[in-house]
Amino acid sequence: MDLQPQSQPKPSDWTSLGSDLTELILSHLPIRTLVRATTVCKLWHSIISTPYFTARISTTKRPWFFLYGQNNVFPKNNQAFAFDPESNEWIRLPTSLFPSPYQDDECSSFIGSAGFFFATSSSTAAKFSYAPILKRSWRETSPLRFSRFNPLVGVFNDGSGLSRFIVVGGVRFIGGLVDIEDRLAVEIYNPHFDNWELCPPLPAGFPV
Amino acid sequence: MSLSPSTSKMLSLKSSDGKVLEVEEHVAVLCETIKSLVEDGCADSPIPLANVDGATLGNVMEWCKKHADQKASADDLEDWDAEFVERDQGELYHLIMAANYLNIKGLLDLICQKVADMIKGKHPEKIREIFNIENDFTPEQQEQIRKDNSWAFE
Repeated sequence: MDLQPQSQPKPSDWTSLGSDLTELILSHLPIRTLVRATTVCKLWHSIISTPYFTARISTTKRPWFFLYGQNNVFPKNNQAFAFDPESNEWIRLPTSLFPSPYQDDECSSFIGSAGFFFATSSSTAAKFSYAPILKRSWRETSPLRFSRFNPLVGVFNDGSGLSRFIVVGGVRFIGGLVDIEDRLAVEIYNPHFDNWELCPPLPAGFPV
Repeated sequence: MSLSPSTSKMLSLKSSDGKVLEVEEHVAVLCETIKSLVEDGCADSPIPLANVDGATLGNVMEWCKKHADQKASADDLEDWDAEFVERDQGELYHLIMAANYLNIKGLLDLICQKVADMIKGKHPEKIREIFNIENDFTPEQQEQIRKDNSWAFE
């Protein structure tokens, strides 16, 4: 029997690789090269910009380590850096990357985890926004149940293709009065209903 | 021929350019495509592989033979693979097409990683040059994408 012969492509014509194989190759690139690769041609741009690709990258890439240096006097002097373990380099991120309402707010924090940027603000409302690193479209969620500054954020895929965020620590209220138990609160974002679900708190006495 | 416990049955594979290659069955079944033919009892020889030329088929089977070897340690395989992918672009391209067609995930990932390593850290112009890709963006579109992601271009 024959194994479905297809027309033979020209020798090493990479453009005839097809989008599936091109996607497979691109998925092996570190994030910075990947973002640059969006300007190679329209096909590459469309492959890299799909939510499917972004989700795939988020689960396979090694997480970035983030540093966000805040200047207490001049918020415009704040600096953000990310360390990409895959390419073994520090990347300076312009603070303009973060949504403007957060930029000049001294109670805001920026976090990066598993292919996402996050921004929180604890000044007036417990605001929380996120954006996939590969697609800079910020979305603000419904407010967190607890106002938080620089919390830990974890990401997991619930199988529906949407990512859920687990937020721990950093609870603070205006005036600094925080109920001991509130500090241990753990919230998980449910993207299907745009709400924050409380899950069992951290063990009592956990230093947060 | 070595006498392995499961006395090696031979399969013959016929490439697109008519070359016939004799391969031990336990080696050839690393290709999922061939494995399902064998399982379905359709592996009458020679098996025609219309999308793989003789030279590429030889390379693919060399990889399969190494990876079918139970005695090879993980470190050993890693070193061997690193040497295996030292090839020119044309050969890499044909290996990707063949690994995809024959459905050999390990080989496909290996070659894709190698090609990605060739792109890594390169500027878009250089990438286009390597792969002979035409830039179909207008300068304005390109500038806009660069501006949106300026951090990656610094």
